[in-house]
Amino acid sequence: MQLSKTSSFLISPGKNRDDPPEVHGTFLPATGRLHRMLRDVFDRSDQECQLPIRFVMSPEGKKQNPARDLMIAFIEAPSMPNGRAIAERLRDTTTGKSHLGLLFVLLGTEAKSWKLLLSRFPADQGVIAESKKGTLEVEFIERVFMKNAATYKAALYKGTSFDSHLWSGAAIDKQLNMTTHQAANYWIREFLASDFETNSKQGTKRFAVALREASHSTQDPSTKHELFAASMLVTGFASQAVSINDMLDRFSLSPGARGAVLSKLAYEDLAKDIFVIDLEEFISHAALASIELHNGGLLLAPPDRFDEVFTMETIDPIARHYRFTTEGKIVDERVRGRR
Amino acid sequence: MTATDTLVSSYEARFSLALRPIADRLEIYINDLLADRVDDRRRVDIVVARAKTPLSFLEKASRTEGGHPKYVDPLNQILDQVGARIVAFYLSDVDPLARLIKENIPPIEEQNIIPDSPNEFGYEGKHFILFLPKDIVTPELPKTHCPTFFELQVKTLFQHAWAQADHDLAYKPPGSLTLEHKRKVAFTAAQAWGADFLFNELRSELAPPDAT
Repeated sequence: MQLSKTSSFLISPGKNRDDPPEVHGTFLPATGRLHRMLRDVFDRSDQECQLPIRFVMSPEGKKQNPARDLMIAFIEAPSMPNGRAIAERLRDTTTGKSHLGLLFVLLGTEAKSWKLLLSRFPADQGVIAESKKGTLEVEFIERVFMKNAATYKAALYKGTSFDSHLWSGAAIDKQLNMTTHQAANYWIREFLASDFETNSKQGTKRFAVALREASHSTQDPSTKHELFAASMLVTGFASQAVSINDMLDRFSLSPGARGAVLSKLAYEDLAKDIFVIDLEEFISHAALASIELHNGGLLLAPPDRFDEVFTMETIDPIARHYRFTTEGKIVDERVRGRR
Repeated sequence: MTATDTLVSSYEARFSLALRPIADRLEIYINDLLADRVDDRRRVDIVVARAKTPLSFLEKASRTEGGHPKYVDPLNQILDQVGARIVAFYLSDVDPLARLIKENIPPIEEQNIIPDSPNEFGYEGKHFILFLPKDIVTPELPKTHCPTFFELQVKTLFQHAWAQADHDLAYKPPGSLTLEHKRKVAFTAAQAWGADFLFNELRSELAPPDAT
């Protein structure tokens, strides 16, 4: 789809300020190097925006969202006031930590279809060097806006129907994996009034059940062991934004164990979905961590507390001979068949 | 071919290729969600999901408002092409179930449907428009026919029973309802409301503390 309307707004931080700075904007001509650069950004956004997001319902339960309303208004009438309203929302959610930014609101329309890209280039400092008549002029400049900076953000919406299609989109947020979520939260949660398409409970359950089912179905003891170990490690990722693919990479699972988990998803692309790990949800679905001994002994404990519950001593590492000890009060006893 | 013929044929294709399989999977998905929470499941009578039939879709798509068509793009604007209902035993079960659903399936709308006036009795229930879970909208389904949302209703046994009978008898009457018909329909709604209210009271008085 052709880029048909290009507007740009300078965004200063304005969150929690009684007197937020005014937002200035302009429509850009459909010619020249800047237009060509933005056209490339617009065309590549389908490949680059890979993080599925969705608008959230109003607190009153109405089918309404403040960021979505502004986007609908702009698509219907791509005027300077409607573009500025989007930019002012970004200003009002931007803190001093995020510094200055340049927002491009790029719109393409074709018959009933539309494609809207919001793209925030963060400001940086730089040095400009120019050869002039055999000499070199070097100058420090502020307010250089760079797309390849680590804090570049974008959001893409496209479709033919506001009712069906303008409830979800795709984003880029390179700060997503930062441990301090504040910086990342501001683009998706605050400015876009959105969340990950897959919510915390959905994604966590999907992952926990896939791990559990994979460990139940595999006959290979080492794969089973890998999967139990992975279950225990998940506790270290509580409240972090991850995908199943990320997790499998971080656990360095063998191809067999990885394949076993992926085969338990409804389809493999679900492993790309980003969600926030909900530890309570994970534990409620994950298999109990267990170790079976050759003498018939079976040790079971919640994966997040297995190492606290059982102390393991190595007797003979080559023969894989270990001693496990634990102590506690009996709260349930299954004695049927005991001689 | 008229615009209505085109709409019907498009919806019929959608109904058989996408909506029916999605509804079947959705019923399993919701049952599975409730099964994870034994406390919530034990007082749920049934979970049903259905794809809106082509006839029912056409009837809704043809509605007018102020003399103009209510839906200009019915395939995208009618959001209950897939619908599900959770039927709970008691009124006090509805809110915990609604919370469970909202936490697990992102909503775009939540409505408590009650009659406009305190002097009226009629249709009641909690309705949601929710994103269809990605786990059930698998890639082999034709993407253009897969809706984004579904409607979920959480009702008590009596709200469900009344709504079913009302839908059958009164919602689409062959002729217009007489005053007496309307009073009878309102009377049955009042009876259902009273039964719900009393059963809920009885339950809170008689149920063992761990079952509340």
